[in-house]
Amino acid sequence: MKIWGLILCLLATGCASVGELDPLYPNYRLYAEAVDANALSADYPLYFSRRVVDQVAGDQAAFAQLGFKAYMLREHSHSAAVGEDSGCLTVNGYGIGGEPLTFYLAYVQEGAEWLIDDVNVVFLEPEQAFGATAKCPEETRVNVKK
Amino acid sequence: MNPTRAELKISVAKLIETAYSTDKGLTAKIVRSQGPFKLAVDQDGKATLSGSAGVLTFSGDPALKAIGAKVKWVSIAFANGEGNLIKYNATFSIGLISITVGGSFDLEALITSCSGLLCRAAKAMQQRNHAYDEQLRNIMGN
Repeated sequence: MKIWGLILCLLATGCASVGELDPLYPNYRLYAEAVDANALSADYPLYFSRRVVDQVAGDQAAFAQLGFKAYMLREHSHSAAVGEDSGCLTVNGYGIGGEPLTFYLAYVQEGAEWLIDDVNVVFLEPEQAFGATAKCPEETRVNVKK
Repeated sequence: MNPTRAELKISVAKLIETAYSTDKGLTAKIVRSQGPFKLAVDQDGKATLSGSAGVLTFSGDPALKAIGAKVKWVSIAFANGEGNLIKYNATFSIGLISITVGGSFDLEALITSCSGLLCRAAKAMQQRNHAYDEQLRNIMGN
């Protein structure tokens, strides 16, 4: 899988490109603005991969999950790691009650667009510090079957 | 509506509680043994609590009712802290996204929470009981 290749790349060589070359965060901002404007129902194929869009078709419960941005009211920082055709974006911020949380997003490139393909929302404890580097969702999940 | 942090933490408590009500002796051995232990729930709702002291399987579905969304799988890693404190990190996959939550709880407080009238009333009703959920929320932290 593309994302696994990026994870290995990140671990082995630090292949990330960030800053002005980051194509992921601008896409995330458009997605976030669509959620804030209640416009996601019409626009979600602009922000999510074909794999995700196919799973949402006609499934209201699945569609509701795409509104995960609503967990975060205020952004704190972000970082990105981008490979050839996949990338990972980490967005740190605070929820409704001021509690810290982080979005770990995996992106894939489809044509000219970078689209969200995987998401892990991590609720942090108040004393936990935000991570400074980008991680892919798969790296941040608890997997007791490993 | 996606699940809240509090709902996920309450579900962790209810999974441990369900393990206790399934086999109190084996659950006590697993959670009190030295070293980490883990709990996994698969897509069929089959929960497995395992550690150095043994393995216990039970239905995880009732404990996951507090979460509005349909849960695909759950993976929880536990570690013993100081005294009765148990630390945990849990990931809940609800289909397209997953949510990870962590924290710690007092094992004795959790076990004894389900011995009184409040707990019996909650079980008798076989549905969400706000007073009992509030008690669990306090034990698991906000």
